[in-house]
Amino acid sequence: MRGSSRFDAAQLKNAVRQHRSARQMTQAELGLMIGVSRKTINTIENGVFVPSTILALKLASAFDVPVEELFSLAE
Amino acid sequence: MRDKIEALHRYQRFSLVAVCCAVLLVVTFGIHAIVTTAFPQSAAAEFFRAHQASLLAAQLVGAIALAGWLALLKLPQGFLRDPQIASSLNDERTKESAALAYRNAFYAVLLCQGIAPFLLANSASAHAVWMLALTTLLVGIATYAVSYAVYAWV
Repeated sequence: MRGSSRFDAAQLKNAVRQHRSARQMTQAELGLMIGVSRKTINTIENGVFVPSTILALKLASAFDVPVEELFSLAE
Repeated sequence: MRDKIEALHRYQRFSLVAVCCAVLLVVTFGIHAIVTTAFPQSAAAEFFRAHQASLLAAQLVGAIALAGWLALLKLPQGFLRDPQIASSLNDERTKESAALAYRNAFYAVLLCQGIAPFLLANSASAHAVWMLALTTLLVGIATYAVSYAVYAWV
């Protein structure tokens, strides 16, 4: 998230916002669905917070897509 | 789902207010104690004596408790026992924020232990050791609370 993780955040691209918008879900609804706060979803979407593998898998499961479709390394 | 989200937002707003009040309380108490003990003849000490900072702090405690009761009364039954709510209130970002705030507080305490003795040596206080302990505690708590608030909410 901060400090050394800020570098990691710049390396990670994500498509969480696109998938969430496509399903017409709010950040709060998605957060509650996978058991995290609205702020966590917001910071993931904005590339500030790098989620753990468990959280990435939960997000992929919530959208029913492979995790590679949500997260990828920036070129 | 909507009800849960609204209750969650209300609870988080109350938590934010409670943390801000707690920081204000700790800082007020701490500065009051340091100023009146180390610099009893200063204008700041005179100000605290005139305005009864401890009375203000006691009123703040009462206000926080009252606000807490009101907020909790409005929450649905079993709010905090709901697994989804409990999980979202203590997610990995929250835990990371707490860990980073703890790290900052640790460094602040180390820094305070290095600087405070020199400052207190010039204050001619009869309670230098007590003042050093109090200052360290105040710096540690305030740094933790402010860091946590910044990491968690900004």
